[in-house]
Amino acid sequence: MKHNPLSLQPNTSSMVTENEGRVHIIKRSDGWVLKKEGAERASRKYPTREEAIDSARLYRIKGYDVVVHRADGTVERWSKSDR
Amino acid sequence: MSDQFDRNVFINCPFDDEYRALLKPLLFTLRYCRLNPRIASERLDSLEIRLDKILEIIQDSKYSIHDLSRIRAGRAGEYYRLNMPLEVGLDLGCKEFHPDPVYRSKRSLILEGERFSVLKAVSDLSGADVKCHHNNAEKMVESVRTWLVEIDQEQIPGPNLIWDDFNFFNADLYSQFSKNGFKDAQIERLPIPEFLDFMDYWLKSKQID
Repeated sequence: MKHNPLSLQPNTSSMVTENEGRVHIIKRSDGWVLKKEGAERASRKYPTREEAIDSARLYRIKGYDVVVHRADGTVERWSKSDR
Repeated sequence: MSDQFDRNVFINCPFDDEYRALLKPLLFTLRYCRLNPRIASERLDSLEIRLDKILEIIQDSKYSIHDLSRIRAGRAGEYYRLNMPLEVGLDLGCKEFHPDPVYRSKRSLILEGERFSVLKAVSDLSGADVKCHHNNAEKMVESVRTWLVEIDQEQIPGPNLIWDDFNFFNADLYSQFSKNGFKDAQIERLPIPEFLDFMDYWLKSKQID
């Protein structure tokens, strides 16, 4: 039986608009990467998550939210853009 | 037999909170690749006998993934967990002994957390397709994805693409459910049917279904 909580149906149009301003810090087998949503490739690889978070500050200044993920892919921290 | 037999994948895995970190990327990878994960917790009817549910799902599914990474007793005096090996046996029995020859086409993946650990516990599985996820979510995506390619599933995206989209999905899950009043811990512990429903909506919104 499908569970169909209408209150929880994603508002997909708002997700599309919101997503365009997000940069994610994502685990890779050999480090951490910064990846803008919608980009084909990650921007750069970092040996540690802390270095990736440090670099991501520039994106916040440019108006991007920065989403920091745990190694299991879930969200640990969401930093809103500085604008 | 389900009319989705050719797309159904029976998931045989632990049902504890700790395993959720591996279960979620497993479920996501399957749906991302247009398969239907079938799991005993998909229906929450307490009157339904769990073994009957499992037997039904086994017969409805051409494919199966058995994660045997948690069969070991955690500390002295604790029982070893035998549900997962039992279900491997039931699935294998269905494949080999069911009178309907269509079941001979069943394909299975065995997962382990440490290399060669499964063979130490269940040596009869020597020669089976065993992949090690090292108890790592990203490796889980890679292991399942590799198996799907090996069993000739079509149009399987690369592992990094699936993994990155899993992260993006988690961001939208977090964002959407937070707006609806869920606390972080409640989002982490979403019931599997609810998690799968949101995943389906998300994949449809991304036109990945």
